[in-house]
Amino acid sequence: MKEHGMPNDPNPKDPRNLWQNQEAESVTITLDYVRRRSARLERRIYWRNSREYEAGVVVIGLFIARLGRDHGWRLAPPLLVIAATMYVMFQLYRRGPSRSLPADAGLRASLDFHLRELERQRYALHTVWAWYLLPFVPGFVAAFVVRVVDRGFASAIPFGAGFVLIFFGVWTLNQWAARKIGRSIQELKEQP
Amino acid sequence: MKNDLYERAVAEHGTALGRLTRGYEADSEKRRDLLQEIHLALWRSFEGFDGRCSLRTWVYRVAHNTAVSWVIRQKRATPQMVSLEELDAMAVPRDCDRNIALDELTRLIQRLKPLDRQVILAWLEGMDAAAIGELTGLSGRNVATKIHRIKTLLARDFNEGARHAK
Repeated sequence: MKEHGMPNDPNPKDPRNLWQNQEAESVTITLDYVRRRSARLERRIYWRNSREYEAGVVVIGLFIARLGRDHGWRLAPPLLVIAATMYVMFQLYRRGPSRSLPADAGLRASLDFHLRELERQRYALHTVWAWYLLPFVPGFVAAFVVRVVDRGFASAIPFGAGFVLIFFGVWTLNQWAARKIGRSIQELKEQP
Repeated sequence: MKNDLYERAVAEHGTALGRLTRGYEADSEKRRDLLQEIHLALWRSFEGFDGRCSLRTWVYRVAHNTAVSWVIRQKRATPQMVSLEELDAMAVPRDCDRNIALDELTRLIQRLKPLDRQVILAWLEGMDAAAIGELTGLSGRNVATKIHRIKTLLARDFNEGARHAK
């Protein structure tokens, strides 16, 4: 519901008077509404944080299922992909989710906090090749070799090219996001 | 306790929070979202309220922090922010009409960088230098300098506006 406070004859030449007597448009927010929003927010954060791990568990499950169909050295690709997924999940856990700003922080502390968070995110995106892409390379190389042995080199080329394209796409997107964050960092650093 | 503090904060500063959102968000629909976010942050924050600062300072800190996070998230859609000094150097056409003057004032605030914006909003709400220092964490001398610049800037712009209107 909207509330409209009537202006108390504000003087346009006095900015303080003008500001404090502006028609106050505010939304009435009840305590019950705030409680419900808070509970919803907590649920959303929980699901967002667990989604990345769930995706990892699905990948591991799929490749474990493959283990039953292969044998000998052909087990190398699924085993390497499982190991890579576990490593990436560990990295996600180690890096942790976004931190929350202490509610009562002063603005300088608040800006410093945002700066640190942005720098942390930029670093994670900038080094994504090392902790996210590189661990999967051995598994994909092994899968490529298996395909060459089974179907010949010509047949394996589209398979390899597809992976290279996906890797390059993921890397490019992350570098683009890192540059965008870099610009935000620069603007925050220009604060007096 | 948390609920009581929240209700007291809304009763005493609810209207000011509505005004504060004007300084951070130009779009009225988004402004409502921001106001809801501020209320949510405020309610959650009272778990950690220990009374070491006044209720007003606490409310403004939480509100400004939430609004600054909002601006950083929405920043791509907003024009580049400037400092008080840069704004001072800009020539902006003025009009004395109350609504237009308020719109001009709001636009001026929305273009400022977070620290300057917090100082000007606190000053417009009637806070003195000591209270603004407590709120922002800036030194008294720094606050005084900023307030002086704000006053000069606003006096120039609003007096010019009045002259144009005549």
